Amino acid sequence: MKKNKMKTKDIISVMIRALFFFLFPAMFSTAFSGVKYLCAQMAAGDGFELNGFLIAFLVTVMLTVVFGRFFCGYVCAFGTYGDALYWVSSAIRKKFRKKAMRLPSAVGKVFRYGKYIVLCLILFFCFLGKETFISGLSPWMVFSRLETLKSPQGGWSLAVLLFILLSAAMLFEPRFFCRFFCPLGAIFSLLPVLPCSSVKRDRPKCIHGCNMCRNKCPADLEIQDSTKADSPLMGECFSCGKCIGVCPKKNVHGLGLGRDGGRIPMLILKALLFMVVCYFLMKL
Amino acid sequence: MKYRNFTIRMVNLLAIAVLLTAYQYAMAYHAKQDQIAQLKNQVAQMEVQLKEADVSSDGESKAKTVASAYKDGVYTGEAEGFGGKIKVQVTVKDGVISQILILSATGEDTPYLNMAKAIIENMIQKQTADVDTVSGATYSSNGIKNAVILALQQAEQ
Repeated sequence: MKKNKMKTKDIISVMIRALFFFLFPAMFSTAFSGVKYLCAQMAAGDGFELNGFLIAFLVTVMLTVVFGRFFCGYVCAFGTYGDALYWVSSAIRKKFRKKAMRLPSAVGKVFRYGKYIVLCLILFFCFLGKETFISGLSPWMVFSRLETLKSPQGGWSLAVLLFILLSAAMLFEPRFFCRFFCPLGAIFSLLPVLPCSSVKRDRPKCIHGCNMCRNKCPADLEIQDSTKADSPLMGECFSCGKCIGVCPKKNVHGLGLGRDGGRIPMLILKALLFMVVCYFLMKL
Repeated sequence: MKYRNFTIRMVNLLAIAVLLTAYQYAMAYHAKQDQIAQLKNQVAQMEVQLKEADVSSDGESKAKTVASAYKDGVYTGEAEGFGGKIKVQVTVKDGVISQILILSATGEDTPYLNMAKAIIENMIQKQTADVDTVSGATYSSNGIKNAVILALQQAEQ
């Protein structure tokens, strides 16, 4: 019974991610362009116009405050791309009976600051009015062009090299880009998330020495304790729900309707909501 | 406090929102002031021109027609945007590029296309297709630009 429930949720997860991947692949660049726009306007001493990019960014921020980083977990095409890469390499690894190599937790804890550095770098260049230059280095741009099945403009460049390197890294470490490089993720990770939308566990009820949730977590997180104060590290959580599915004592809560409610209905509801929002932002 | 982290972040976020809104109001106020000053300038200039036109004799024909590079007519052009072809319609009237319409741009996402449309105003103002692309919507604006170039090629004398 438990195995079946997990499978259904996994299938639905993949379907949702695939839908966003094919329907709205440019969501992440649109939202981040909103950030760059704010920067460029302030650098020029101009006011802001509510253009499509700014609205996309503001709406995504508000939805993240309410629902957590559902965007990162399901909407972002680059994240889905990373997941797909890691799934392929896992399948190959399983065939050869090799164990997964994960980045040591200590390294991950330091590397995660990388995304803030990337964010600051990009904003710095935007302030200097050199947005075109920094966009020329962006692996996102390369990815967007690939999605339209065209070769990147300008042929082989540093951006293409970065894209290849990041893709290779994502084969070996899940969500390598998202955790250590993504400037949009950097912003999301600093946002307040409603307590009812974040994941937590009853630490006292855990099996001693279990750690299954942490092992399964793509962001290598120690899920926060619901009996203690909330943890700032939970900003790294993508709301994927893998921890909830894997806990042998069903001790991880959140992301469902109510405390122990169904995760699948909530997942579908969020997906529908985001899909409507994306349609309004991108296609109208 | 159980939700200490959430509260701190929420307060920070609201503070940033307030700061940005205050900035926006300040900028809007300055922009209005600038606009008022500019319009006053324009009015003053026009008054001077009127006076000079009155003074100078009516013998000289005012219409100095510069030989235009383009034939009058309506032309279409098509070029590659971000995700597909962009089709434009260029109208030349009295030797001047008077209108540029986007007939179709199905491969472009709305925010990018809207931002790229700014290039149209620029082209009409400068009366040439040779203008800078819009940063942040490079592919879409480049598509519009190239489509207009192709259309204007048919219009050349």
